[in-house]
Amino acid sequence: MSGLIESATAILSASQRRLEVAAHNVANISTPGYKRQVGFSALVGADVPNGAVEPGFAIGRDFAPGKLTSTSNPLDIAIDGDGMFQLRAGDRLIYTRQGQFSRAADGTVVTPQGYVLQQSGGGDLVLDSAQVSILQDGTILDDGVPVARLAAFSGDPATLTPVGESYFAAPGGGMESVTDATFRQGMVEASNVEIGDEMVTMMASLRQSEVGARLVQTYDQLLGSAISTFGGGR
Amino acid sequence: MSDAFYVGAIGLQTQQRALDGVANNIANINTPAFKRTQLRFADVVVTRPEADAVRPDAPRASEELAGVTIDAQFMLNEQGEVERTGQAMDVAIQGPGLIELMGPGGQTLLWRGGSLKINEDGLLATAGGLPLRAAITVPEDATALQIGSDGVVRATVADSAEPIELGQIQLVRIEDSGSVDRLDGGLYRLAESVSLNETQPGEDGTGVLVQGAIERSNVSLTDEMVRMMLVQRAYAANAQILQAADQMMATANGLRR
Repeated sequence: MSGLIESATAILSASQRRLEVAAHNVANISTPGYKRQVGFSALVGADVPNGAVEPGFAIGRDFAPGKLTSTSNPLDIAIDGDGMFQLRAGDRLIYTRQGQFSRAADGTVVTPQGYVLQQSGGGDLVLDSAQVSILQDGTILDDGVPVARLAAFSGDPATLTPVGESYFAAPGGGMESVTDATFRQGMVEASNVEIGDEMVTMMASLRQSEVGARLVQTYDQLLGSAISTFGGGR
Repeated sequence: MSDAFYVGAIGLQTQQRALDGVANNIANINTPAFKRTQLRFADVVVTRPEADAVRPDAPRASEELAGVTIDAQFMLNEQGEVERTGQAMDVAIQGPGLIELMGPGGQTLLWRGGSLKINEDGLLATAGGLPLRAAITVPEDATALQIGSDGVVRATVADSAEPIELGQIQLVRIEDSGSVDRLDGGLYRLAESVSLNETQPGEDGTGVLVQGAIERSNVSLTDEMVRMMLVQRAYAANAQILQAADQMMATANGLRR
């Protein structure tokens, strides 16, 4: 009998997590390079002795590419196809597809959060001027002279750990350089969130929470009638 | 309680700021030399403990509260259309350069051009009265002023057949709009620790001066309208999330009848 109330609690908390996932996605509907979070239920505790099965909850990422949109900002760079930019956050390397950079006072190329873009072969990318042109193979030309090269990295999405809404760490390493990445200057990759999907998730999670609530109420009713039946039959 | 409330609220705030930016751009569509603000959405950095991020088996369900933020950047180096006005005292810059001005207290201000006037000290100044750093004194008997594309200012005076040379307006170039602050009236103030190198107009990619013209704003109304509609829809979606979070909380509160 107590399994019922545990299941109901699990349903309630899972529906809440599902709504949170939708909230993150909707909040980042305009964030370039954002990859949609997908919440999915997983069966856990199937081997619990009393047979109670609780739906668990896990969050994955949908790495489908977003559409490229033009911004006409010379340091907005999108990767067309597979690959991620390598950034340095403090002393550790993280990865993103959010190609919104600007040139800092010391010449490094940084994201709005201050992470430093790494060039091909490693090391901070340093530019003398923000008015550079970037070829599709990642070569950076300053006044017609090649000065550096961009690099893209890819790895197994399952090994990436999110460290922000659209930044990822690869704790186990295993990020390989992509040789045939195509870079587009003056463009960013739009977020791959679809408002319709998120609204459906939201409605489903609301109904799911109502089901959980009904289960609790049914349990409560059963318990109430049990008490009155056995209590009254004395 | 749930993240959904806070993330939804952050989403609403961000979209509202985006709308402010769009509104400012549209309001200044006819302001000479106005540079549009580009809105850049970026995510808030998660305050996840460092240990978690390097632990490969960290449960992925344990992401902490994050959301979205916005970063406004104005497109200083994007040229607006140069429009002829026929007024001899209007000057525009064709190219990314800026004119240096002497601001109050000796500070350096930068200007994208516009209407000039001769101030009470006889110096060439902006319509707002700030003299040019080049400190060009215009003689009182000058009848006409010529500004060459190289910035050389000449005046026609009564007692000379040839126009006399008064000085040269220099241009400076700013690499990155992050190194200047935008002030009122089309002026820019240099951030601390940024040095300027003056160049003559036409050199080093600074652009040339155009007399008798003003630069239009670089706002495109269609782009702004599209952006406005997107912002509006995103705002509504965030509001829906907030409402759903509220409803879910109400369900939880109604558990005990």
